Amino acid sequence: MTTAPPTTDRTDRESESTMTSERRQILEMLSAGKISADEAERLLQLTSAGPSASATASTVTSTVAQILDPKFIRIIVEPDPTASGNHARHHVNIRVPLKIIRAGVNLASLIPNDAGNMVQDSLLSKGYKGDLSKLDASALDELIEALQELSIDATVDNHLVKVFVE
Amino acid sequence: MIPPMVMWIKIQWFGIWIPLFLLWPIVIALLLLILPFVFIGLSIAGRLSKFWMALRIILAAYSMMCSVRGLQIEIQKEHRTLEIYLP
Repeated sequence: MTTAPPTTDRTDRESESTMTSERRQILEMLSAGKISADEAERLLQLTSAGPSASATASTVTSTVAQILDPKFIRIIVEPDPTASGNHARHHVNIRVPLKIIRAGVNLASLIPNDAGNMVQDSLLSKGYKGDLSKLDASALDELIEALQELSIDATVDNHLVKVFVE
Repeated sequence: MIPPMVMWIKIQWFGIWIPLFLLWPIVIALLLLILPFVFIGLSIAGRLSKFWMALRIILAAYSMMCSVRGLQIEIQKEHRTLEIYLP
């Protein structure tokens, strides 16, 4: 005789609808090439986490935002555990906010030409051949977009070097 | 946009939280004191465009300071350590 309150049914239906739309969104992003298969798998696991649908939905949303809009570039250098010999062991862990790039370019665009030339000469003398004066807003957007796909794994002088965005 | 309020710096064994929130009011007070004199001086000299340029540089530098939040640097080389963190 007793039936479940209609509000519970409605909540369940809303949760299912939210989950379906989020799965669809994840699959669309995967097909559009915005996220990798691994990232899609991680997000799909989050959507199928279970009963706390609203909490899961917010987690998925924040994870999607994190993947599509990375905040930091991370550089990690660790000694290679497979390397043999008695060499110097360095540990480096650097996290740089991506916002610095945009703010830095804005600031650099205001530097007077003479000072800008001095900076350029100084960079050239240290082996940096790029021309900072040619870095405008559109080039900056392209640079930041390209950085989102950045992932470097290398071994240099018995050390593992990892560079990625997060 | 809010600039970093504190900064952690550690060199070798010595680490300290630097209260940057004490620095910003001093910087703002100094700017408010100096800028009117700069404005008057440059307007008398007929070079007011320099004042607006200086103002733009100050705002861009402020934006740069705000975007530094989240910067984390940890370097260990042999027995030497350097840590900088701006939460």
